Amino acid sequence: MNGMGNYRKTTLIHSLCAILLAAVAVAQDAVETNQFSPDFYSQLIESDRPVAYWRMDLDERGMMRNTIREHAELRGLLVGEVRSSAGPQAPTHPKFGAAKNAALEIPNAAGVIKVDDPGDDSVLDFKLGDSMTIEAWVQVSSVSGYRYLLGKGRTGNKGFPAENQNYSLRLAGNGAITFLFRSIDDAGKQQYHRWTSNEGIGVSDGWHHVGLTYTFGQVGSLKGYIDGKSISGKWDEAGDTGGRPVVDNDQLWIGSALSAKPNSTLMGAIDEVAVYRKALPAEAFAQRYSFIRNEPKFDPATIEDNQVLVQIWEGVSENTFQYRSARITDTYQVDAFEFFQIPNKYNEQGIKIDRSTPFMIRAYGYVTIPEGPQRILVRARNGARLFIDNEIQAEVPFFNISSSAHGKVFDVRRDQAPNIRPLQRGDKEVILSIEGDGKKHLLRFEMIVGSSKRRPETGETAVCIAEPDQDFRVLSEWHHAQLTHREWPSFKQQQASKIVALDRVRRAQVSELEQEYWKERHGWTRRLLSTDKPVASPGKPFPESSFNRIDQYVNKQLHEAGDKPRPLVDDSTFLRRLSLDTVGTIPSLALIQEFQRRRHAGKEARNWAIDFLLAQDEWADHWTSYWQDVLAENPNIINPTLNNTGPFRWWIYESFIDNKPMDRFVTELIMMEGSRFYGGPAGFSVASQNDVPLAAKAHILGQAFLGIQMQCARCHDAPFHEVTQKDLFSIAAMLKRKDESVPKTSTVTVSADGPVPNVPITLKPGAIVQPAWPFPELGSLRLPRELIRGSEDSRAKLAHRITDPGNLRFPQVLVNRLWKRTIGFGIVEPVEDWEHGTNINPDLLDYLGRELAMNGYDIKHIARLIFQSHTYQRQSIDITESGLQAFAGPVRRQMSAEQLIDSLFVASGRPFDAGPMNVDIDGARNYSNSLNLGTPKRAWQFASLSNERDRPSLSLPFAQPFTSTMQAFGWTGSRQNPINHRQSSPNVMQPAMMNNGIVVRDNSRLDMMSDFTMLARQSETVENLIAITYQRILSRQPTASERRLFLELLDEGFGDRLVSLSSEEAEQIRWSRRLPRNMVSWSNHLAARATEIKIELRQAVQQGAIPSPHLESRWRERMEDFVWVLFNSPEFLYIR
Amino acid sequence: MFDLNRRRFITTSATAVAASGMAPLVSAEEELEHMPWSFPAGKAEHIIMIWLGGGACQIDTWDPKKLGDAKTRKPGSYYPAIDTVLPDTQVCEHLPKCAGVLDRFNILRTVQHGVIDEHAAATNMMHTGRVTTGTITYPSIGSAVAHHRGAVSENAPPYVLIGYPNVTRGPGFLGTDAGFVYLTETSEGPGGFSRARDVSDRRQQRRQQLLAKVRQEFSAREQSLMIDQYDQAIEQALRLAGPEFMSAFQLKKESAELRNAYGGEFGQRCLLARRLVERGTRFVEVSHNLNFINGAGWDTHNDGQLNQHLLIKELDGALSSLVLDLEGKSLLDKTLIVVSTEFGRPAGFDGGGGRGHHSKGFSVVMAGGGLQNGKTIGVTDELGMKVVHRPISVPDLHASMYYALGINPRKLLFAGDRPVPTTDMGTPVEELFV
Repeated sequence: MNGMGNYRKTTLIHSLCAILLAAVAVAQDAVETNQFSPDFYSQLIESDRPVAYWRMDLDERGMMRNTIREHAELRGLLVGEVRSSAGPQAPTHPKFGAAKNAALEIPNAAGVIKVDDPGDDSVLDFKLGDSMTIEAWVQVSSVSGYRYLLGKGRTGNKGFPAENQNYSLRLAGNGAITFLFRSIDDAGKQQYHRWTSNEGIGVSDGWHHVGLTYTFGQVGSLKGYIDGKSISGKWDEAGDTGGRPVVDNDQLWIGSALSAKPNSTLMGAIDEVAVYRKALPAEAFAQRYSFIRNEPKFDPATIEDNQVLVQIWEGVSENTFQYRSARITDTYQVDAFEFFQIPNKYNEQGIKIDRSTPFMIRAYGYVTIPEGPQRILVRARNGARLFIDNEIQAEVPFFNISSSAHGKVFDVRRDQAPNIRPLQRGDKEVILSIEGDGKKHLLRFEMIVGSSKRRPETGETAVCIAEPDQDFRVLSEWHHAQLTHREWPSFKQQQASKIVALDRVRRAQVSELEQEYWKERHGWTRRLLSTDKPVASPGKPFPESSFNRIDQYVNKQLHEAGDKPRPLVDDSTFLRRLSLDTVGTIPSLALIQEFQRRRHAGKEARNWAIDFLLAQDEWADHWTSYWQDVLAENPNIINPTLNNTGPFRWWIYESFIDNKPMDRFVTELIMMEGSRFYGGPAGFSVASQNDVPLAAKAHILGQAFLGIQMQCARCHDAPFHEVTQKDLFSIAAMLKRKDESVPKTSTVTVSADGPVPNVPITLKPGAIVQPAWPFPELGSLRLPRELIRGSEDSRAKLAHRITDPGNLRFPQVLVNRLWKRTIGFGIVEPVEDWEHGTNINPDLLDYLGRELAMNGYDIKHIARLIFQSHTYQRQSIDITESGLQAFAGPVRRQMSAEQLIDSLFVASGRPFDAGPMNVDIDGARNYSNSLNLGTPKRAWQFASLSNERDRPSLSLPFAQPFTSTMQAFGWTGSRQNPINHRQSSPNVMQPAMMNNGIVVRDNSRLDMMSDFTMLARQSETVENLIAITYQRILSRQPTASERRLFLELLDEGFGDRLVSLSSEEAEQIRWSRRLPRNMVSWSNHLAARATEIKIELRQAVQQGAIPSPHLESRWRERMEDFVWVLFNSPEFLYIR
Repeated sequence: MFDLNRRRFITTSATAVAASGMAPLVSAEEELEHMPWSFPAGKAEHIIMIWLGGGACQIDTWDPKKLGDAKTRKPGSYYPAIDTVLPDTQVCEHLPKCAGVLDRFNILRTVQHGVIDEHAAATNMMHTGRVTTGTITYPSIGSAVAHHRGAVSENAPPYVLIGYPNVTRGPGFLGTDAGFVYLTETSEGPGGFSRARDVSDRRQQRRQQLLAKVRQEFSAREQSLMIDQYDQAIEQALRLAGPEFMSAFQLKKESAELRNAYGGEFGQRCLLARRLVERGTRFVEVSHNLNFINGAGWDTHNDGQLNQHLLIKELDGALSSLVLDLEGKSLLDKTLIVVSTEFGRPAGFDGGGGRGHHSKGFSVVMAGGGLQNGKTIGVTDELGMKVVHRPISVPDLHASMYYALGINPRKLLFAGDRPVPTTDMGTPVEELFV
């Protein structure tokens, strides 16, 4: 930190932007150093000579005293629940001085303070032409409807008409202040008049000052004040009036009205109420207010060299920086002033939870401002401010896009810099000009993120700098990434991946105790199970075909069935199979080459590859899609319907990144905690448009982890199972933590003339089912009591019932699922229905199940055993008509849709360009109506594109080709029910999508991003080109005849294939197409232009990537045909 | 592929029956599939289902009532009614061409369902005939028809969707085999079968020749029934991508006069539907919700109402042309046209002068299909809000569509081992058949 002190003193920066300078006045953070005496405030009030000034202190009779002695009779009677509490005081409100200041609180909206009107023409009576001022300090914990601060009349007192509001000051729903009175004309006609302010006070964030002045009968005279500032408002009921008010001798009440009904009563505390018989000027209100944010002092010396320190503040208010009781809940570092992604927040279990929204990010960092004229560009998704050396320099307005869909499509500006990346819809920008001095300055950027209704997103929030007429670059001591269409997207991705890495580290840190707990549990489980009788020894049939214990069980059964093991498969087929079964893609060229290098060096390579691949993060990608299916993860990016869930895909993904023990995984799933809309397991609890959501969840859990099929039990007892409808509803009740009743839709209607149902029905609609574990036959509990958490909670109990080591069905179901996914056929089939299934190798299942339970429910442990087995490494077989009797080898499988898509991109080396899985890209809609599933980088990240409105403007043209291809291969983005088997039989759409689908076409095109292009440019011989292409796509060397075939194709013109082209020209071609992306969101999709844009984008997708200009086009086409042929060979699609 | 579950179902059920002493299950299946109707099933071969996404207003189209006024929010039709060739049936003034040939139509004015007035749920109901349960994903009617009857010709796919692929249009538990081939723009052809523009005939030929050799070598090396099946599917895909089927998309081969009669993109979709039917496609769904015409498509809230007449006129021109064109080609009796939508709209107006959603009585229109055309079925009340006579449920509507094709609407489908009747025990609308 040496030398930093110098920079702090630098003040040479001059803002040239006058408008921006005006904003400096808004800064509220300057610490007021004046010390005020304890009676400063009361003297201020008294000097303005009110008729009543209620400081909320009590006299000897316990009544609220009027400080103005000449009107001492205006004392208040406390009725109901009214109690003394702390009022505004120093240091937060310095003008109250250091002494204690009492207020009165009505904590449960069940109290009121009543003041008698002394009689006709009293000081509380205001007539036509009279001026008045009312003011108060107030602190509210919630507002809905209209809550009275002060009102005369409309008390509900006997002897007065119900509608006799002389005057009143109230709070409206959003914290707005409102003035209400009743007018009466000469004919006796009465009417209410109501004025409401446009802005409001903060709710639940401490004390605010409110006030108004009004002269009855004088149109335009009403003025409102909040926190010392004049505020605008409107007469929204019957309009402004010159009429006279109702005046009578009814009481004046503080805190309530209308017979003190709770919904008219203040929820909170009130203090320093004063009433004047004149209109005070605006300065008086400004004088009264004072507020110093009680904030920890920030020491810039804590900023590390060349880093940006980011704080997250929760508890801020919406659409303002005038927050009160905010607190720092997170601090982290980044290396540039960009805020594309905010780290997740995790609870002690390492589960993603939501921050209170809105929250604020505040970032500090020292950056060098180069000498000479500079422009600083601030882009932000919501209201933001930039300070340089503690002086405010720029303010970005708050988000203000309506969610109504009728918004405009804005034309993007491209004139601020030569190659500027256009502003993304939803973001706003401000540019300021400064004169730099070549020195470091302290920058502070802050932004309010999200709102109570909108997703807490940051868009492309960043601070950039540029010399005049040059391109902007991110403000950073590290990065020079330019805000251009070429550099920004990859910069975004690179920075986001750092946050993902940070999340991972912090997840592990905060959940250390949780990990300890599970370790202890697993130690117990291991000890408990090691005392059990071991699984029967299988003996050693076919010893030459046996690598580990798995093979012994498999071979024994083969022997008994009169069959024999298949021989080991060749290396390249093995590596391809293994790669697809671990990381979900064909092996990369680098992996193939490393494998071969080891092989040629005479080293063991297969076990190396197993360990290497099991350690890759892509393991999590491969498993996320599986559990999305099995757990019926079914988020819809638009309007949750049709049994949608939250996007708990991110929790699944993180669980597998962390290699979470499976018992912990299931427990977290069942507890359904954490974030509901942004990726926590709470998303599992959601089942929109389902009248018994938890019965649906019970159904999923039964299949997924117990092998119990309760599908039929939704409506009746299962005809072919032991399971009854009551079993299902018992688990549903455990999940619900209370009784569950059977709805009308969950039964079989028996009509007089209809067929008699042949299914047993034991529960009637409306029947009540209690929480209870319905499957005692699965085993008794064995874990010691001190390890059981939440034994009083039926949800925790359910999790425990499933994961206790006494229940060996659970680990067996899991290993069977893993077996099926790697070997291709379950030991028990079907995997989700064991009552109905057959177990073809009970000993093997028993062995693997125990092995999982005794090894901390670590699924990778079992996977490793399977991959290391001779069984897995054998040549593959087909399933016969009658299924399988034994495992002579693994079963041939078609790649899953995800494996196919991801493998195409591994082969070509191209990045996904699928656009955002989001139709609400500006985030204007309510968070519960539109999900942002991010920009997919792997196939599992897609979701259904259904919008059920068929509007082209809501289509996602970049994602569409992906999902269309995936659908042909058995994927569905809409999982209304759990999927345990994808339909995988070949159908015509599969080769069709391979032949002509856009995804395959793009990956066989030699564009400027394809590794095939590089390969084609750099290969020295055709033979080498052919060999490498074969390895990239089919993971093997070509046969002699294949080599000949493609030599014939590619040899001609090979020598002349290269087109000489300067790299500038090439870059120009590469970036020549600029598409109107990120301009259409839900908020403007009804505009005609929105449809045109989407059609234009779709046409661009149809057209595909620009072919590489480095290659002569006729030769390039032949090379593309070669790639196309290999992708289209059935060999590519099958895991053999 | 073999069908493990189905086989197990049958054997296991036999033991279950023996154990429980219930009536034999097979007869229960028969009982479920039994059709108690005396009137004869239809002989149509194809269905063209036109989908008015968003919810078309019945009283602004096929079931006109007394005029309302959006400005004063007086409930009623937005447009005056006109007479038709049917003596007792009027339609909205923007349907004059259909009015002239309404004797080829049937208006079902009393379709209703209880699904909450939400697009996805109602669209699901109108496509699958069922509500979602969380235990099973039901197939759309297009997929179920494809499943039961397949394509008419091996050179055409059984189910083509001209519109966006939605789950409610999909095959549900029937799996990809019963899925659709789709396109979103008539000029582009269907994904998977339309070749990229940079692949010339010559290139395609080269690709196919090379692929044939690679495939041949591979199948000689790898003996697998499963992979052979895929290999056969390649043949089928290449056949569909060949000239016979793909010529369907060359709308330019039709006369300019006919193309003009059909009208804009929606009309061209209808024309394409006819060409698909000619080539052997069993079920075509044509989406008509090009939202730029009036902003909101048929979902005419607020100012979406202002240009609703443009949508109606477009429908009028295209639909009447389709009927006459099919008739001219002697295909109308073989082709059932159904104009469907997720729900109707109420007679009252919203604050913006448009209309909300209404599912308690709305119109679905049929034409041709060898039905007893020229009948208007069902009566709604004076504002078209409630059914007064002859309610038609969605299962009954679907049953009528299946029955017109000679498919037993109660024939069992299987979701794993679970028997599911094709419709939720629907009964065909008898008037359409006798």
